[in-house]
Amino acid sequence: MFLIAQDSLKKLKNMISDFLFGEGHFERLGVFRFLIFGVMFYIACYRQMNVDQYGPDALIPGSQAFDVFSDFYRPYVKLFFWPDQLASTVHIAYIALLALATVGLSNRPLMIFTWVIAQGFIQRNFSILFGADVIGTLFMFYLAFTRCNEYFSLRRMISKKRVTFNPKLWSDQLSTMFFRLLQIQLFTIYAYTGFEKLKGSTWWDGTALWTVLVNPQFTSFDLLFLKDFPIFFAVGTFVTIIFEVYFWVMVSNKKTRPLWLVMGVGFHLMIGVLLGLMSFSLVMISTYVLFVYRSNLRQCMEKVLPKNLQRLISL
Amino acid sequence: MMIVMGNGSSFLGRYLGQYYFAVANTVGVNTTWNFFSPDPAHIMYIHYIIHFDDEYGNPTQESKEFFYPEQKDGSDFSMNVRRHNYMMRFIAIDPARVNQFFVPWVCKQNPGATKVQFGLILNRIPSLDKVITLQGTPYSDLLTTEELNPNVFNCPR
Repeated sequence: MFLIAQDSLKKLKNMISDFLFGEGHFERLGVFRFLIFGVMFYIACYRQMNVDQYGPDALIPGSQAFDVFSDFYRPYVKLFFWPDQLASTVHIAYIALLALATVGLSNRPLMIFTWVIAQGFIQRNFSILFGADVIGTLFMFYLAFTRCNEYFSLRRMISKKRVTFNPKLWSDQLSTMFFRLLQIQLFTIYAYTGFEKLKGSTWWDGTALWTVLVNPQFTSFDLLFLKDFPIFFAVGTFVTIIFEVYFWVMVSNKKTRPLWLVMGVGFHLMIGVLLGLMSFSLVMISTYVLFVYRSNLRQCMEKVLPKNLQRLISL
Repeated sequence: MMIVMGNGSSFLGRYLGQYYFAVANTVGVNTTWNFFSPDPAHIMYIHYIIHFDDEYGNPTQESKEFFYPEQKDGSDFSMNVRRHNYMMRFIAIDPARVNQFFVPWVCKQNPGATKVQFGLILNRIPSLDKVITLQGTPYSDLLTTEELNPNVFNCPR
């Protein structure tokens, strides 16, 4: 009995070790880095037009920035270390750092610094945020601890060193562990998004999509004609909840993963086009790379990139 | 931590939170992931009138009327304009935030302003059942408009 228990424990330990430290995930991390930092770069370029809301004339003064948080959610450390007068300059520097990270010319300390600035802007004016700012910044945080610059990066083009993965090195252990955290974080986000919707009477009733799609503050299209197809709203509302709540189950399962990811791309593209939330949709779609098989991703990248750029993806 | 903090105000969140609140709140894991939930919002915007009075309460110049955001129906979908839409919702849902942040900001932008007359306009979208039942009625007639939290605030001196 004791031997069986010992054997099971050993198997479990090996399984966890394999899950956490089994492989380097360089391909997925590299492409994800390019996508997420690229989208954040795009969002930040637009946000430069709102930079007055982070300066001395902002609706929320710098001295009261933490007052908008309830005690429960108030940050402990103030990350906007710059004076309000320098908000524009710091934001431009942030855009430059995002550009460097997108092309893979950053490193862990620099990426953590980039995240500090990103989170600092979130703290400085919490009222003016998009969901994409919050989710994108959180993913930037996790990514900063990984070896995400080893694939699809200019660094690969410059460096002649071969990329190796050694699970005994703490640097590689940290990288693979944060890769898993990225996946778990995405599962958590989807699940809670679905659970939160179940608290609402219109989601439960099957008419929430109606309120969203005919609200001119949400959509730029006149979709009132859809009232003649009410079944669309009922099905759409329930499919949304099922997709979100069961995302982690279906994506964890290798057989159902492709179906759910394809559904997710369609779902987010629809949100992006109909609700004008393309930045949010791109952030969410980019995370799907984390679940694509390494071999598939490598083949795809080899086909997509022209020959003279193949060095970007040589490991 | 990331799993519990999605529902941080739950018992488990409060109980375990003491060990990692500092990290979770700083990193941003403490977010509640509620997009369009619990229920999608209706059409809303702020309507405000700025008054300029002397010390006896007599108007010194004509009052100014504004909407925030300027395109009250949100017809401009540029990202930079849309951020103001989000900011309006964040501020307007809590009357304390209106008094603490919105009024001083408006007063600062309008030197000489003494009072801000505030109202949150809510255009309630009719339910799908109502729209289907009253097919012959124009949609615009089914939208109901309410003014929430009307108040007059003095500008800080």
